[in-house]
Amino acid sequence: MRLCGKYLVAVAVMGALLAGCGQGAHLGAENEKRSNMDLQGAASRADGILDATVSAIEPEIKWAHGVTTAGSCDVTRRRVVMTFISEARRGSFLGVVERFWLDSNYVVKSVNSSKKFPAIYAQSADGFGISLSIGDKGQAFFEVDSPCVEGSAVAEPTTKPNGPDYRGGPIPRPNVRSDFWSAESSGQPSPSAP
Amino acid sequence: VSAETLTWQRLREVRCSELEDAADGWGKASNGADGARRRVQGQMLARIEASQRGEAAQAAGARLRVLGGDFQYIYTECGLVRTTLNGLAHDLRAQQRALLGALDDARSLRFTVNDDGSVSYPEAGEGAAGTGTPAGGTAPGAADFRFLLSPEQTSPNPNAAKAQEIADRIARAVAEAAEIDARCVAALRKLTARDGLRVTTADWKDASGDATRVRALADDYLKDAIPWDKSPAERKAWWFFGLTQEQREEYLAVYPDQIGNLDGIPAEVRDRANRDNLSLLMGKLAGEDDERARTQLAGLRSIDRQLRAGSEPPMYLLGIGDEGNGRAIVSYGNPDTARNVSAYVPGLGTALDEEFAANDLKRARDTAWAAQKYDASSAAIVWLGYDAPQLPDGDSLMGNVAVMSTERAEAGALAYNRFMGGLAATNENEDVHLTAIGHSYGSRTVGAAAVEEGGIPGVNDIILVGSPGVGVDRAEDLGIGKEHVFVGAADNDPVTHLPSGGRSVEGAAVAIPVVGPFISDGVAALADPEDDDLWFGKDPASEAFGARRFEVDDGPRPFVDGEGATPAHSNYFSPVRDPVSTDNIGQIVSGHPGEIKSEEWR
Repeated sequence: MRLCGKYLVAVAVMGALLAGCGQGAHLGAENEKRSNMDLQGAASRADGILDATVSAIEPEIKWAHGVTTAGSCDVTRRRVVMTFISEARRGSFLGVVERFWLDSNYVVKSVNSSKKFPAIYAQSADGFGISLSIGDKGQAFFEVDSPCVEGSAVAEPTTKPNGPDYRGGPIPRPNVRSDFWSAESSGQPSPSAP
Repeated sequence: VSAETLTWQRLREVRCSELEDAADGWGKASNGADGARRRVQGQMLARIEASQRGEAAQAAGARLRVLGGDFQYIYTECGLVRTTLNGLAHDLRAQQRALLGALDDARSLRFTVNDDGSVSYPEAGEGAAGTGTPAGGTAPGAADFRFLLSPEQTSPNPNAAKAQEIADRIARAVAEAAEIDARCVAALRKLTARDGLRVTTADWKDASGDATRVRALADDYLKDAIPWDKSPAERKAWWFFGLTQEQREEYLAVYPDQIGNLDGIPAEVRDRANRDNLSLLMGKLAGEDDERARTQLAGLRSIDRQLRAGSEPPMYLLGIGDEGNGRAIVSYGNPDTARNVSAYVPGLGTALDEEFAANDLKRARDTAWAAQKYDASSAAIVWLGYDAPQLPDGDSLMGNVAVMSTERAEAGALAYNRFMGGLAATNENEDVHLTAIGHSYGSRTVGAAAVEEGGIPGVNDIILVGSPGVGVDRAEDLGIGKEHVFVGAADNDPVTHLPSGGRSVEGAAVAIPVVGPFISDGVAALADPEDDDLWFGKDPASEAFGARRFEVDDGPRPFVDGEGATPAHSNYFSPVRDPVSTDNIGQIVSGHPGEIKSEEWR
């Protein structure tokens, strides 16, 4: 019986490929598209999610736009935090963001509890993935990933970063210190999410 | 840019795009001349010779040959000017970037960059007891390497050495830009005076021949001199030390297609050659009227647009070609200077087309971005340097089953190892960290490359995603230690559940009508935990295989989630569909495998 099931898997793949004959499609690349949104719409929605997320963080952090990458049916917006998040504050930082996402009815899909590079991955009800990961030198990265939508041109985000705009070149590692987020000991009052 | 003296202020203001616009103009003139030459030689001359005899026809033929030769000359010369200007823009931009980096650093340290390029710094640090804070000062820059310590390097003021380093970077960028500029001016002067190419008109006996003859003449002294049978390291030495600057320029002008794809040639040189060759290749394909040419042209046009638009990390075109299903190798980030470099081999159904240009390039770019989160010195490559099996192949089932033979993987493995050998030779870091990534059938190709004698040159880690098996049964058989083999397998990706090779071919042919029933109960079969033999050997995600499995999203289920047969198969690199997998790959590529989110074996 088990063997039989496996036969069917192989057959399903091949059958589907035959059905897709003539499209020259890459295996698995054809996902269902949402008809009511295009890449620009998805990018704007992603900007909205990012705007709301960064403004929910108290005390304020400085951030810059990361690159936008777009495939044939999906788009990723990124923001890079320029405020140094100390090791002592990383837990609070992830906690504040997670609380805001949960309040926004996002579902947390996965958490990486690495001490060095912790991360949290969530998804909105309308299928947008949002993640926060800590990288090298205490830098935090936000990414919002759209579901598969109709193709279109994608413009740069219109929200102004609250510090230097590094688009077009490499983004430096954190170069802003915050009394709270950069503190090396956690002996200060905890932050509040509005 | 020809200036009495080049200053850092001028270098900062140089607009390289104007040089490229000028280069484009020369390129247009070159192509126009080429078209005219074709018309003269291919149409006018051929018709006269085919239809007319006699002195008048002969005289006309002779004139037309000379005219064709003149057009050829214009074509070549304008092409050389174009190449030179493009090269100037490219090289100047690199120095400009270096300069801007230095200025940025100066600004963030609150140093002042003076008009003469020296850098002033404020007081800081601690002096000898009782002498107070060491005073600020000014560090003059020097373009050549110092053999003697400058006063700044021994100063108790910690700002002094930093200022010195910045001033030196500024001076070096300016000096190198000046040298580039002088070299370019000399090359352009020479071009305007050069009419030696006309000599070759004597060889154009057959009027229907075209530029290939000229190139054929050059083959003897240029192309045949390329050390094809040498190692990448020897080719690198040949390029740097075996050739004069003029010879290198000549190679780039005449053989961008060869130099651009030659493993062992530095990435910046390959990039420049391939960008030049890209226009030629697009021109060639535009003249061919078949499906394959149209498909490849669409892919190349998309790549060309992305190159022109620029990107962060910057793109390097490391290979391009129209043989087979097409070739394209693109790096995000400079693979010669990055400490971490990954090279991803795509799989089933990948060819040089629009889909590749949109999605496979994005995979590499997303991988580069992910790796740079953890180590800024990271670059990621997508390597389409082989003919991956195509799907579907007309309506022939056998065409689809051909996917499952190892032949293409083995041919690809040889090419991949040559490429990786080139990377290992040209990378400037002593402790370079190379990661081979295989997706789908590409993982079989990586498996084949790993078991070649000597393994994949320079590779430290291997990542296998969406794998139908890699040709060996144990991770340690890949030759780099099983703790360096990483596997991502989505539970709903049917390619990672294909039954072992020998058994199902005939079964498949008769069983197609049962796809329907699979929809209802097939998912249970997918989760089958015990049978760990896949199409190409042990399931890489199994305990028996013994690799390190990292977490990926389960992905959409086949059919039932409304996204077709294999939606979960292509998510691994895509932050859009699987950010966990993308970050895991980024951590492995950047040399931080200890931080990945692991997953249980199947």
